[in-house]
Amino acid sequence: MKLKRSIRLRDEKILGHDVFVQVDPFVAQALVDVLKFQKFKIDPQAIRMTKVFFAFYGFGYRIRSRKMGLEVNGDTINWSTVYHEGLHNIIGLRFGTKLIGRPMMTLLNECLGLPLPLYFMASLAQASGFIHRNTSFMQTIIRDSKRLGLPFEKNFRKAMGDPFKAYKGAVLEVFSVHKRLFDILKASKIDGEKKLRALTKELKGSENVFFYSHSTPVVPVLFVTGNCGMNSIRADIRAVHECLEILHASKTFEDFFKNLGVSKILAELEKSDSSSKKAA
Amino acid sequence: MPLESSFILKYKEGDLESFDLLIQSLGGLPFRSSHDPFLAWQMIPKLMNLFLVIDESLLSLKFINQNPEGPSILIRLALQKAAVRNFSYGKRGSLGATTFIASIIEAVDLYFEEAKGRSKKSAFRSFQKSVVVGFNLRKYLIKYDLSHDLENKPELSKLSKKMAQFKKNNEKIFAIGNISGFILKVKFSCGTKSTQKDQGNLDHLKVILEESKSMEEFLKKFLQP
Repeated sequence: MKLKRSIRLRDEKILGHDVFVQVDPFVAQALVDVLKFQKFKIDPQAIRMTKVFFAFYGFGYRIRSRKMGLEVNGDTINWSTVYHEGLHNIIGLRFGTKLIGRPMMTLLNECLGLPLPLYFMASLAQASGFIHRNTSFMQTIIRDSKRLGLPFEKNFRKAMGDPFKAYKGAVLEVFSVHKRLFDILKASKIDGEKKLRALTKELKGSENVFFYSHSTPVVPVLFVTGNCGMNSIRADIRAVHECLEILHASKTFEDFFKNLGVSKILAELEKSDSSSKKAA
Repeated sequence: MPLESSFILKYKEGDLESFDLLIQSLGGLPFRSSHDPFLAWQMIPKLMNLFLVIDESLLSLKFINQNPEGPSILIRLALQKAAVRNFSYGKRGSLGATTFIASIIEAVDLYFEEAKGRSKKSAFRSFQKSVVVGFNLRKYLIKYDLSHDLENKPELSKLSKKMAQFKKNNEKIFAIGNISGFILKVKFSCGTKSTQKDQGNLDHLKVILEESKSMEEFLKKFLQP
């Protein structure tokens, strides 16, 4: 069914959500609810934008536009797009959405979103005892592991053993890569070669690189340099430390969300959503 | 011959004279890199998009020869070096010329591809059109990006109509280059203003593109110090 006007985001419109909500009910539902309570919509104009100019989403994460159009099929939207956006919103609501002076928190927010498909696919494989190789994400990482000469089977089975540990490892690694790319841009011609050499060394020792190699870490870094500035204010550093401390201290994703105060964030959003419904 | 990549054939078969002009303008292959950056590029294929002006100290001959995008990187490097020297490409206050040159750089690859299948003249005419459409598209997106607070609602309906129009004018322009990356990079490197000197450079660039009858003629004017 081709969408003629915007529709509110609902559980049944999210392709794959019915599966993942059984695998990790608290986390999957929180990622969707944070958008539902903020009245996110699947929007035909946003869909059209992604069709004529896919790169549009690369040049601005308009968190408050609340219009979704990426990976829409008819009137349904893919779970990974929704979960990614949901996580950005949870982190934004917890640590703020201001961009100027906050390059590191903005980068970290993106890095927390990138390995989400890894977490959910590894959790699904763990729950079902079966690796679902036919999804587009899995096909991509299988292809990238071949290209990079890394053992997919071994690394994915390790992720299946503890999906949240694998998620944490990938977040920290991809954040480190983003920071290095940011430093290369910041250093400009002064010691770009030295910094690229350090990046090469880090990537060489990486176990997780094929989980995120497809995600083009270059775009978030460019976004940050263009919109956040090159220098962090103190609050930026503080927020990154706090968020990483919570991540380190958490043993499961549910634990991580609870420590972030997700239940409180959702309760407040739900309250304002229902009061606006009453007023209407 | 240090350049031995098979990927280079596409360019040589398209327009050997223009390709040679570009490589000669580099004054040989001045890569100083003492390490092999190939692994980093291989793991992050879009790494090159990080730079508005490629830093040649990050390149090695092995990287150029083994990378399918090697020749394209060399061409970009040649055009960028000349553009920095002649038109202040990527410098603060040079928003106009930098945007126009970015459209040239993105359309050159397509020119070599098209020149292989049809006459060089007709490929050049198509190149001229692509540059103009690419420039207008980038100009529109920069204006859009600057006139909207990132945290406000974007005017999606107007933008999507305009994008559809651009796509209708030149389908290929959307398939080449990293437009969104450019919009972000140009803001960071050139700022949001255009100086009077930049206006002059932009006018000059438009004239040499319009008046040239072939890629070779255009490159001679563009590359000369």
